[in-house]
Amino acid sequence: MSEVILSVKNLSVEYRVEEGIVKAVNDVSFDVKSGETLGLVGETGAGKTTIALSIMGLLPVPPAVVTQGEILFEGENILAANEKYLRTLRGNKISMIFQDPMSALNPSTYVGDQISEVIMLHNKVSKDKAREMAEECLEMVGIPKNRYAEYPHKFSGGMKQRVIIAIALACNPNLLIADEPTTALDVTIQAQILELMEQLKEKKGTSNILITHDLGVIAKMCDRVAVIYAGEIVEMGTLRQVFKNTAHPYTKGLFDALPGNSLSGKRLKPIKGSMPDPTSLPENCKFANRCFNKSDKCDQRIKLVDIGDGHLVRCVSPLCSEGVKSH
Amino acid sequence: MNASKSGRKSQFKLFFRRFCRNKLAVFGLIFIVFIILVALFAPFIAPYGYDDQNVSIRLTKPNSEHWFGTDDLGRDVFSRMIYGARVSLSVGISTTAISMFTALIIGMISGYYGGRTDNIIMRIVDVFLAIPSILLSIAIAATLGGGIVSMLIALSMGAIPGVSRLIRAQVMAECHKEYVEAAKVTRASDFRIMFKYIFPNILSVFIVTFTMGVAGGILNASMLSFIGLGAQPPIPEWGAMLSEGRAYIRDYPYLVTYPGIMISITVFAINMFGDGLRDAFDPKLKGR
Amino acid sequence: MKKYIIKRLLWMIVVLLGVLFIVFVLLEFTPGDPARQILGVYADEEEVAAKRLELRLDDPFLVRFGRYVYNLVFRFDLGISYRTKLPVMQEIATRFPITIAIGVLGLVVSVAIGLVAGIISAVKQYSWLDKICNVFAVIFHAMPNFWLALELSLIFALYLKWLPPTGYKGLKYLILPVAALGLNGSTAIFRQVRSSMLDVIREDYIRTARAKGQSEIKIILKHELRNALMPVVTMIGNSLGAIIAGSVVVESIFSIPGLGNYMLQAINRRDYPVIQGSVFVLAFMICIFNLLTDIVYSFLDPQLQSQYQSNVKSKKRGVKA
Repeated sequence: MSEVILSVKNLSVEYRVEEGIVKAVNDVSFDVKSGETLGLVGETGAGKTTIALSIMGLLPVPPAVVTQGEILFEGENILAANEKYLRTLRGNKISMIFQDPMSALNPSTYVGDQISEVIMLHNKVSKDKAREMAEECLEMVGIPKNRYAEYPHKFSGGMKQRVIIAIALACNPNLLIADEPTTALDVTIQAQILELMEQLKEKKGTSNILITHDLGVIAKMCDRVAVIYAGEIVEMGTLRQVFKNTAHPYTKGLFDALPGNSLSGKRLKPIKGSMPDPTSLPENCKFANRCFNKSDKCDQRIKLVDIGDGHLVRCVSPLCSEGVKSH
Repeated sequence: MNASKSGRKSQFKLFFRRFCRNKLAVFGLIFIVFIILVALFAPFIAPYGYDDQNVSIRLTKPNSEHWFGTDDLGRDVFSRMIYGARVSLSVGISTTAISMFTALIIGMISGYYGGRTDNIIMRIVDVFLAIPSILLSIAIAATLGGGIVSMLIALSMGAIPGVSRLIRAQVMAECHKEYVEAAKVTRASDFRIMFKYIFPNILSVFIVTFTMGVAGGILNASMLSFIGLGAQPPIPEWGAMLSEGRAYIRDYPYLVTYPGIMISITVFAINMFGDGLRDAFDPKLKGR
Repeated sequence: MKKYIIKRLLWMIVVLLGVLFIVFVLLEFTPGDPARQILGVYADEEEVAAKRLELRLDDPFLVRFGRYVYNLVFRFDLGISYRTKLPVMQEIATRFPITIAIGVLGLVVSVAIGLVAGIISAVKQYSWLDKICNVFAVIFHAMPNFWLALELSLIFALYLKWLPPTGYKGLKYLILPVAALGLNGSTAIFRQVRSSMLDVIREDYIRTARAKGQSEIKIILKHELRNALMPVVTMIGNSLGAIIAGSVVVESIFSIPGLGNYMLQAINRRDYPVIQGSVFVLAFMICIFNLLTDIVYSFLDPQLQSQYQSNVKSKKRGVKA
């Protein structure tokens, strides 16, 4: 059960654009074990999508450049693999769901054909057989199969996202990366889609990487969480570790900024300031200038340290350590 | 007040910096300034008058005295081309001014009021658009008989339908924005909303269209003159020079080549300038 | 779909009536008495008066317009040439096919060049190929097509003697005019193809296709082209218009006995019925072609298709045709 299927090691990615070098991902490492769901949480622009695209081998090159690190999937380094090999992975063993379902489907092709396209790419089946399988996929995500020959503009946002999930899961991938799968949807539809994803995960045993800025979604779906800030992992651990024994001031700030926590009448506590300019990231703690717990010690390069039981934190004065219960 | 002033200034600076990054656009601007100066000071620059005929030296090939040679009447081609800049530029600019102004009013009314007004105006525009603009211009110029004035009318009329439609689309897009709603709430008059609120927001498109329009105007004017419906002899319009030189193309190709190059470079420069303006106005569109 | 086509067809008839009206109004403004023009300067006043009566030129404007339309629709009659005294329609009919050939060939050339260059340029954006395509596009765009025609004939007919300079005795004679018009027309298509390809390439569904493991070439063919071509199809009608308008001058440069050349001669001789008739026939050609492209477009665009498949939905969405 605890077999590692994806291992990201010291990944750094930058975008070289006219305005300068944007350091989008800095020395990020994590593993995804078979059958688990890892959540990547962070603000917009923290580098979450860049990590996902790196795993898919879909970084836009140029301007993106991988400056260091490797991504091991089934023992093979994706970053060094050739395009032909990557194509056999994409949609087949690793799939991805994108943020905006409204524009993620080809407007001039039947939705069903868009599913059978991926089936035919990775399975040696006839057109009719592929259609049959695609119809099954539609049923699997709760769309009647007689809507196979319809164009995407006739589908609502939630229905489109279902189709996209069907495309992603059509070839039974080992790893599914979902990049903000519900952000663009209404709250009621969000719940349905999350429900569906959870069901399908259980049914197919797929490992998931779930990218979101919504801590509620993380709490519902994930086994482990990595909190990303300015391209770095600042805290990583099991759901319980991160949620109950929050150690990094940034993570704490995220919780305090949640409306749900202040039902008691307390005011929301926004994190003051904004993320540092990614073209000129500081060498020291990147969160220091927004941190309520700042001290002189913060003025140095900070390492990710294990504060117990694999709970990793990038902070010199973590708010708590494992085992030592904080109130 | 002060802040907004300096803000506008720095915005202009940013605009200018973006514009300067495009080298072809800068070339366009320099060439346009150059050609305007040439047109303004034509009598001082041109070594000869544009109608100084001298049959004894007719059709001499380019030499040190006549850099671009002479035409069939012994006139200096170089001087005629310099004077030609006056005609071509002024025709290009004035037809565009006329057509853009008219189209602005038509497009503004159509786009702002929408509904039935828009429907009627646009159906009429559709009818005019069924005839290619240059064909329409040819037909009008032929009806009015040649000459600069009829060419001006013909070219402006030819350009109005297309530009009206473009401006209407822009105005419509602006009308849906909230600042227009807000202005309506303050009970600003329609006229005020159209020209005080909407117009500044479509100004960038207007300027770019205007620039490109001048280039198109010069091209179309040269075509009308070429077929004898534009500038009449001895006025040295570039298209007319081409047309006069055509009979001698076999032995004196420069009579055709030089004016043609002149038209092309001028149009090229204006287009590049327009492209640069557009990119500087809206960096998102860059490279399209 | 049938409904859509019928709607377009009806609209085209209205447009053509409008074009006829414009043409007729222009005819009204022409200087000189048509009766005098037909009879020539040596006819005496009585003859002219008789002719005026015969042509019923003293009727009110709208009556004459009605008759003009009636004659055109039911008798295929566009009036009589001042110069040759022959029916304009007959003169046009003999020259019409050549101009169609030039227009269609020119369009084929410009679409072929514009499409290939546009796709390459967009797919390889910022590469040297893209730059070369762009440079050629702006250069050809800035050249007047009649000048390009003159220079082409100077190089390929007069100097190299590869092709005949003037006349029309077969397809060989059309190569230079078609090349001049096609090169000139290709720049607009190139720009449109390139920019709409660039738009489509940035679309999310292209990323979806990549995430499926689809190969680049298939992504271009299956996902990009069809969506990118839709705006291109709508502008092809305009391109044909520009090419046909350009053929007016280019035909005369190469002495090709087409409609454009005929019209130009009429302009020089102030033969107004011929000018108006030619303008109308050229506009007619372009309208028909626009109708065809609209129909092609309606098959490419699923939104439009479904709009006309079921009435209920089209009303809900607000018909935008």
